[in-house]
Amino acid sequence: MAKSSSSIPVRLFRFFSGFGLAVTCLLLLLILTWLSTLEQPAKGLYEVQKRYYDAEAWYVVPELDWLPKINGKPVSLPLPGAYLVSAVLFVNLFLGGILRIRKGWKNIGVIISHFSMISLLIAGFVSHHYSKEGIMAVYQGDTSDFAQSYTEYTIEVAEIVNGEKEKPYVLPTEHLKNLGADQSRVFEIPELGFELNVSGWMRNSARVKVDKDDAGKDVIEVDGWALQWLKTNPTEELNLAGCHVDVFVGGDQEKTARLVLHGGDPNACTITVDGKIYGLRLMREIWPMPFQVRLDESIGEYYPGTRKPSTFQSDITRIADGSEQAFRIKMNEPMRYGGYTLYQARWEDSGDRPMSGFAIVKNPSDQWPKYSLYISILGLTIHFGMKLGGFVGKSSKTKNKEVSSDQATA
Amino acid sequence: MSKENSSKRRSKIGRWIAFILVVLLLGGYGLYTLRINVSSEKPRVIEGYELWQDDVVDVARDIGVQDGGRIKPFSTWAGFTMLQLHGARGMKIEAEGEVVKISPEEFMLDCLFRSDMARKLPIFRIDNSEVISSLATGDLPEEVQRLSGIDNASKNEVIREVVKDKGRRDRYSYAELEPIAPILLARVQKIRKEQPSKAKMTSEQRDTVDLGDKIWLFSGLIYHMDFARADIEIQEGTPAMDKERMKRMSYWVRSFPLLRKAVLEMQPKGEQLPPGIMTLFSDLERRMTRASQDIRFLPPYAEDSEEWLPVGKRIEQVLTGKRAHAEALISDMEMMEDTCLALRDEGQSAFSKQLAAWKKSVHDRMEPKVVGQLGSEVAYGKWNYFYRALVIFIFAFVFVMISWLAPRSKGGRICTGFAALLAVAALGLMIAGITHRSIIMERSPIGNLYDTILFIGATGVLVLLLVELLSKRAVALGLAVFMGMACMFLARRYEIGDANDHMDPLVAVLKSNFWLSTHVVTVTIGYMGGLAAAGLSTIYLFARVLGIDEGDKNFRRAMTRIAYGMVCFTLFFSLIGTVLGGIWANDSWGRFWGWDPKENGALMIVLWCLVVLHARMAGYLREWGIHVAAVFGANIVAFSWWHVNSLSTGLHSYGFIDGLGIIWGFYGLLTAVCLMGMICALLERRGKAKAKTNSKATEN
Amino acid sequence: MFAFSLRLLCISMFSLVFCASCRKTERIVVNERRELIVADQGNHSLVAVMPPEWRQVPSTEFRMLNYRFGDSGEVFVGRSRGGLMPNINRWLGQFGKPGLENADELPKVAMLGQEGVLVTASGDFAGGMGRAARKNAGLAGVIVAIGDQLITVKMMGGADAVAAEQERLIKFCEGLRIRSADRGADRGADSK
Repeated sequence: MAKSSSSIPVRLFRFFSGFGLAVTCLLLLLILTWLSTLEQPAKGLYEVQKRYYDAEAWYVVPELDWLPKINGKPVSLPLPGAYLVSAVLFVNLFLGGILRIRKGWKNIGVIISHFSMISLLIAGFVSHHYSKEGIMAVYQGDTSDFAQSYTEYTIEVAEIVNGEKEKPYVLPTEHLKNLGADQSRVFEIPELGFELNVSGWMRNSARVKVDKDDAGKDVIEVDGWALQWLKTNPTEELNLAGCHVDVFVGGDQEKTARLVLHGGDPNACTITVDGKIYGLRLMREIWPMPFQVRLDESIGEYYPGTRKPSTFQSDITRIADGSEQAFRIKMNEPMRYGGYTLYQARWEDSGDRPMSGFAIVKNPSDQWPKYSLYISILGLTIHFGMKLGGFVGKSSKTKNKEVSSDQATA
Repeated sequence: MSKENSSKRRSKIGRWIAFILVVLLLGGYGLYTLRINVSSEKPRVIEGYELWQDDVVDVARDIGVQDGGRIKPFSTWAGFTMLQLHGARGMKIEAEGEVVKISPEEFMLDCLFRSDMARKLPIFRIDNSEVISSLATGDLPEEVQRLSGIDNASKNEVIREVVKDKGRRDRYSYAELEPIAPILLARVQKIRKEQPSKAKMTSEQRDTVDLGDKIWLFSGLIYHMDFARADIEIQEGTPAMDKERMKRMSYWVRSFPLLRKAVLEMQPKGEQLPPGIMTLFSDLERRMTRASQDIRFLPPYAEDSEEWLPVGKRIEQVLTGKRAHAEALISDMEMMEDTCLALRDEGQSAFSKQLAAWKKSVHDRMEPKVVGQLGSEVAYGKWNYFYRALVIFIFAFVFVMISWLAPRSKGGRICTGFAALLAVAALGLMIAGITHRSIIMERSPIGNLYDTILFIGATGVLVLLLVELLSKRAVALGLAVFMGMACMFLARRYEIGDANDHMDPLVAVLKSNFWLSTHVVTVTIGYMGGLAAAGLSTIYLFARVLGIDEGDKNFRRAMTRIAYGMVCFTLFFSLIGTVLGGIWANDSWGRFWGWDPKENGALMIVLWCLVVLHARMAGYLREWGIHVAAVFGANIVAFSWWHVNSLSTGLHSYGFIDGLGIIWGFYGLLTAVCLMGMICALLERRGKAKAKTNSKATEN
Repeated sequence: MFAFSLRLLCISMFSLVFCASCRKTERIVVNERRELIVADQGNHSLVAVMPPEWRQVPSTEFRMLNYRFGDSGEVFVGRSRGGLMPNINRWLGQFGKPGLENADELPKVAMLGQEGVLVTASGDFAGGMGRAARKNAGLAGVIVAIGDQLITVKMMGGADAVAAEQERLIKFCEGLRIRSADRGADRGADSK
């Protein structure tokens, strides 16, 4: 029989819509999920997420102690990143699960289920790229109007006039967090007339006092302070970043100032350029809110005689556009407003006043998984219900056949 | 011999092989469990031990105590405390010339009211006497030497004396370990300072810390009631108005303001306090401190309070000036003193009456609904649903095994019938037990790892019995019985190992009956489905490999459809459960998916089921393949259900466990089954290909 | 089909690795600014107008505000207890100067709505509070009592450098103020 030759587009379509690709993608996702889970205790969730699941992680090389070694070095087994695999699976689901699949009543459940999975992947995509989250810590009686990122650092540069800060310029976090210790990056701020050369990035560090004379040639000392590299903590929130910043004014080749910035510093370090004072601060990215939150009452209850939390709840007043509205936020009962959702994430009463920590999330696809779920339940119920009905019917027919054949034999 | 007879003979041999394998496997594991848990030594003789009367135990059983954040009956508290200390809910001793088994209630009554007897009980099991011998290394801190009277020179002698005449694995009483208790506790402190995380300790460090914790817990129990023993010593020279009353601590709590005033008046004058007074103060303080351990018998006095403070803390409050409820406390102390004195001076009958009065006093101050729940929980304990279900399943399993040897015979069919009846009865007990638990806890049936075992057992048996109803091949029935037996056994082992009360209230983030009833239930049913599919496929593989199925294509097709159906069932519940979990996480933690290990585990099950389904549709997996894949799926379920809990990381921090021993055994066993299936499939295929080639050659 | 799939896979992997290694950005232009928030007012209630000749450096446990000038000059604002005269005499003692009976003779500086005293000294600094001993050192500082505690502004460095900065120090102290809570919240709201 002559081999049928298909055109390239047809072959491409068959490949991308085929079962083979589907099974491969699902298996890869399974393996990636498994390996990333095993890496978490040692590396921490943040690191594992970055390496396995980020959009920029096109491939990943698992790092596990039990992987086979050659000459003492672990074997390198590069695998495609989960984001890439999910993207390919999305294409496969659409082409194969919706377009190519045979249409009919027998497959209606499957098609609906595939559609629900596509919508779930879309929700995941939107969440990955467009959602933002941070933590707002407020003491009882205080008012806050911002959240801070759990993990992402930025450098803010603000002019200080009469002791008060002006609106700061914010260096993009994505260009800081992927800086290696030996790399540097230049950030131009045209409106201020100077640029910053950020180098020596440390993911976790301590600020230490150093005598000018004692500082070695490898240690960068500024005003008696230097940075000490610390081992990265698997819990990313506990890492305090540090870096060096050289300031170049107006295109000069020589730096005007050098600063040592540390993520644990509550105040800015200043430079003076053309008689103006600018404060620079390395800190977790700040996310201003379009409303203020006043914490009227913060309640934390533990089961009697234990330190097991029974209830954490906060009575707040949301202040926006000149109006006030009271809310109660509890565990499992967040407040949703204007695309923002506030969750009761933490509670502490170690100081003189209790403190509530609100996780704030802005996610356009917040409720989409719920709709995907309804669609998925419908699809799976139809499909498996039909299969079960068929099985039951077939089973009783087979049994009747066997019984009558037994009777006939008898 | 005809092909049919050959198949039948092969089938018979196969059945016997399977029978022997199962007996060896279960028997071997059973023996291993017995060896590590049951002591072969003779029961210890306890001189002077008087058995508790039934009426005393009956009265004590449902006295309310507060523990773990809830009010529970004395019997529950005693049961779990005994599990923590002794590793079992009963202890065999020889007393009054006969071997008796002490129940948890009796054990706790001994600890609280007959501490001299409790010290002699062989409570502490030490699996490796090195734990004690290793205390000889290193120097003792000076403060420990001062308080204990043991110095570095005499330390080794004291330790040697303790382990003298003891085996490597043996039971010890508190009296035997008391001399080295200060050394042990100092060592525990040192270990904890060096390594705060128990998961990162060496096994020797962990054993030492565990033993130290048990000693600490036990000593807290036996000393707790010192405040009520009415044996305060009044020294010569101490002005005594009523010597008998002055032996009671309640007298001193009542008199404390006057006493304090007198002392304060003496001090400025430079007058010396009578020597007896300092000794008395010291004694009172010691008793108060001992009564401050975490044992809570008395409801709060203030209406707006929920915490049942330990007696010692209440005494401290009163002595430091908060006298708002002083009279109520003194009255309670006198009641407890009367109880202790009744036992000491009059015997158990009088003790029983006093204990009943104590119970009435406590229960009158509680809400009637809560008092009613105490009775219900005592009944739950008495019914022992899951132990009874285990016993019935064991009998049912014996019937199943016999029936599988000769399934078509009359005897086989009778055994199958009995097995089915017993399975239904056991299922009824399981459902009743789970329902009763839910009523007591006032929440959905699954809230922790222990609950999942019970639920998986019950739903597994139910679903498999339904499958049996449809298929009528005795295969699903056999698996149902096995699954029920395995789950009940696992639940028992886990409860003993964990020794925590799994009916204690849930942490704030879990307090949502809606999500517990939807997400947790569906995911758990998904786990069950994965395990059931693996079980059915394991039976298929052995049946085919050992020739038990006699090459019956109908049987094979039916089993494949059932196993495949179970995979679909698993997918349905796992997928919906996982997505529900994401929606719950979105409402609790602000994100639908966080790549938490528990979430990842659930996703892995969904992905594996999808792989199986799509590979089958594509023709990559046929009969052999589907079953091997279903068996492998159980590894993924075990990873998701158990293994992730040992990683001790992630937001699902309410199910962490220590150690992975049995899980590796499970992985190994199932992987061996998969390999067996794959090898046999390959061999069969090769055989078929060879036969085809030969027949072609013959034709030519 | 299999050969085709294999070829497609190889091309994809190669492209992947090539693209992953290509991405490099070295120069970023920053124009984004964010709105001011309540926390921008600082983590304590003091508002200080720093002279442009100084530079602010990280605060410490004992230095709420911490500044440097020149090569080794430093100015820091802190809290203290123990009374005005003991603190004055402690500062003087660091330079080997005799203690004073009272502060009547010392110049006065208005700070934080109260009358503070200016303390100066120069000579050999004996060291202390983490600072090394130094010859020809100078001190200028203002202490004021606010409630039951003292607010101190202390300048240390070379004797000449300190003398040259003294006027700026006094202006700095006079410019120190306490931020009112209402003003701060209003500012945060106004800036949106």
